[in-house]
Amino acid sequence: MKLQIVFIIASLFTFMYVIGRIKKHKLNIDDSLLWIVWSIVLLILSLFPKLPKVLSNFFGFESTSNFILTSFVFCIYLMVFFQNIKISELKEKNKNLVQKLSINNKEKPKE
Amino acid sequence: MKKNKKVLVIIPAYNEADNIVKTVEDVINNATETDYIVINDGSKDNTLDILKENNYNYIDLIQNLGLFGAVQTGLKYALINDYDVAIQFDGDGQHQAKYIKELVDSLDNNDIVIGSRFVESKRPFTLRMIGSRLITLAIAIVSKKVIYDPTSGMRAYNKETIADYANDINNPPEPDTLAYMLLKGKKIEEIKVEMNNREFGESSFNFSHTVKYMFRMFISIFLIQPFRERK
Repeated sequence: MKLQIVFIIASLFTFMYVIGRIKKHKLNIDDSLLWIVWSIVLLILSLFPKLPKVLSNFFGFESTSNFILTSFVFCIYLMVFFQNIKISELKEKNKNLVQKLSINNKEKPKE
Repeated sequence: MKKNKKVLVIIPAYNEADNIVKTVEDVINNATETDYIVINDGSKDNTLDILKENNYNYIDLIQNLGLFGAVQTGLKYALINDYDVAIQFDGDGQHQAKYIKELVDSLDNNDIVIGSRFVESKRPFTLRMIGSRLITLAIAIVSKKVIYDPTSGMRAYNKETIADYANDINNPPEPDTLAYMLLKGKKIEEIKVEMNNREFGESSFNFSHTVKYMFRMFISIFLIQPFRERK
């Protein structure tokens, strides 16, 4: 019961913090979606504690807490991986921009 | 149309080599008294060459930004050059320039005017149009205003909303921002227009894209837009 309340509070705080960032123009909506979904999942899990139990049994975990820990770590792995891809893309775009700008700024050789 | 209203037609173009000449000629011939600017969004085909050849007024983005970034570039250009009205107008030949005058006129009493396919006629039951209905419903629940064609890419903005769209990190030209504008107390109206089917090229919508898009729209309209600042 205690844990349930902690989870509910955590999910609400996550949601409020994300909205706060959007309000302050620090986060764009596309990037916020993941965190909003995250807080919703957290809320659902804490409101219906039977749900993780059922899933845990289905996947063959010995205890529910193991299941929660494993699936959260897995989610974090995925998030880190996709962030890595994004960073690669940004690096490439940034390089591209510098190159194009530099080529445009190139001074013609004096005759 | 009131005289001395400076109007800019913004035409975002990504790989529109087959359609861009037709679109720009339509705007030049059927929307006189307006200026236009083509935003070439880093096209991979020869859109840029065509723009140069025909001596059109264009901005060439040196990197692909997507629709949001391209339209926003046009809106920033409108802001810097002190335009009173900006029209968002697709570069793929779907929109007809003869409706631009009506959009601008209707902007006298509104903040945003949408060129709508479905003010009078019903939407067919394709996947995309079911999506469109759901977005209409979502916007109506949040803002109490029915917008029949929320995904229409043909929109007119007045001076105040140009600034809002040009500078905000979270105002893409998508349906969810319409909900935000309505919550802010902006007046949005729709005008009946007809649109052509695409002649060349494929629309970027497919099944998984549509599902993702709907997901984004719903979360945004219900869980984000109502909580944003309404200055």
